[in-house]
Amino acid sequence: MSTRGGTAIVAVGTTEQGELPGRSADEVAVSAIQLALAEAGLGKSDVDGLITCKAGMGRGGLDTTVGPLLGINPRYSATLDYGTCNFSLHLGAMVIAAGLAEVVVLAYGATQRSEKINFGVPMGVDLAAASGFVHVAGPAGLALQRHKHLYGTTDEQFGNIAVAQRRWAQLNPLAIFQKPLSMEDYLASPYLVEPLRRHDVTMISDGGAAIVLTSAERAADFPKKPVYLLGAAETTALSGARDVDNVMRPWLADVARDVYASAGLGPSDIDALYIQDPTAVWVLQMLEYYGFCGIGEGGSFLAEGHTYPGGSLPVNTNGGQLSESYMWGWLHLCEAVRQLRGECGERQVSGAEVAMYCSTMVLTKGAASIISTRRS
Amino acid sequence: MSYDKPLPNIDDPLTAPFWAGLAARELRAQRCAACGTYRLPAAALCPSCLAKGDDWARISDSGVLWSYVVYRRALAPSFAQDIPYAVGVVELDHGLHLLSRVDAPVDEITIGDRMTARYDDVAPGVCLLTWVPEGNARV
Repeated sequence: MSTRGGTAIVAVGTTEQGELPGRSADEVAVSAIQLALAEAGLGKSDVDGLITCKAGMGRGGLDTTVGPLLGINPRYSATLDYGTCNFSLHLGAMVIAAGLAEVVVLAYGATQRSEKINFGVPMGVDLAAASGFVHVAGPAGLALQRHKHLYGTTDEQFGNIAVAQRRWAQLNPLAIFQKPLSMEDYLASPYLVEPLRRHDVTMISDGGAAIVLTSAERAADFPKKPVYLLGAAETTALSGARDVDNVMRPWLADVARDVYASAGLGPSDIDALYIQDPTAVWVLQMLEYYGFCGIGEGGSFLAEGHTYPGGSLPVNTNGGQLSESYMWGWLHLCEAVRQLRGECGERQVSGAEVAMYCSTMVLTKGAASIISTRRS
Repeated sequence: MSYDKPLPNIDDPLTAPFWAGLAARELRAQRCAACGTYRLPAAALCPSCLAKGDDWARISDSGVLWSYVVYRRALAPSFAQDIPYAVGVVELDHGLHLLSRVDAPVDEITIGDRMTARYDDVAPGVCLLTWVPEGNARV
């Protein structure tokens, strides 16, 4: 099945981000859906497809819990067990192409900050967990330490990810972390899990996001400029989940090859780039594997300043999970849509026509989407 | 002093031979009875040829440090008293890697260091493996 230009994003909705005490993840998801439907000029009865994303640690987010709260009986509904929104977007495009639904809402709500979810708790005790190897900073730190060893990447080069994203966040009213962060501040801050500092690791926050999809044929009927899905690709390294050296994630090169082939475009066509960032290490890896620089050259590429406001390759113009909010990548896609529509005020990337969003589900799944206001 | 960190379930039939090996001061990995592929961590069947049978074979408990991290802040309360502590991956024979605690001055650890296993009894029947720089191997 070719995805090129067949599906369009016609609305996005994002709730307040930060702390939303007293509300369940499902309730926040419904709030985000309401915002997205309002932007689309739709009522909830117009929704015939619902794809939700599980909230962390068994706290809702099922289609069978969000749907009843939203009070709808869509023709199609499903839940994905992993976030990042790319997987939801691709499933939505398939549902529309298969004729199972015409107006599909993707939604995610999270209350992990208010509920004080502890991401330092191991899921089962093996030798790693018994050794205190906890949190995503563990595997990400192993990958960065190895990268530094192999390629000579420095703390200062790597620090450009967190510093640039903070610079972008200061231009984004939705972003939670707005305090200026200079390279001197970054380098003076202590290690959390060496070689990672606090600034290199996602915050924990509450919030919701939703996206409305429909067929390209119907997209012109909506108030906002449609943003078309030009290319989509996924791959997995499911068997590699057993290998600790899989933290280097070389299989990301396969997603890159396939997403560019799917869209008929290459790295030089990307006007704004979004990379899901539970830690900054994933940004470093994906800049390389998606061909914006050579393997091992991420450090020097970052030091050249391309990813900052005004640079040649704006990356995570929302501030990402390091500075905007932790929404499992969903806000990256919402931001990409708003950039392509030209709605981003001070942080607007001028003339942006094509954006790419790259994400991964920990160490085993990767996905990417290329979207554009052009249909082909 | 009582040991209050997370402990593995050494009675899980899948992994019990691994923990029994550590208690006997040996590093053991599963070896597929059909195709001979080694696997660590344990799995119910061979992900290479899908055969079910296996032997637990003793493997060398020394290797080269592949990468490591240093926990400078406690992300889990039960490890707070160990801060700072290092955790590292050691490359073993047969294409295997094993991640565990590294007991060495955290500012002196380098990728490529030769490491060897030290066996630490932490609770009745429970022995953990700690990587230590070679030449400093025995307790």
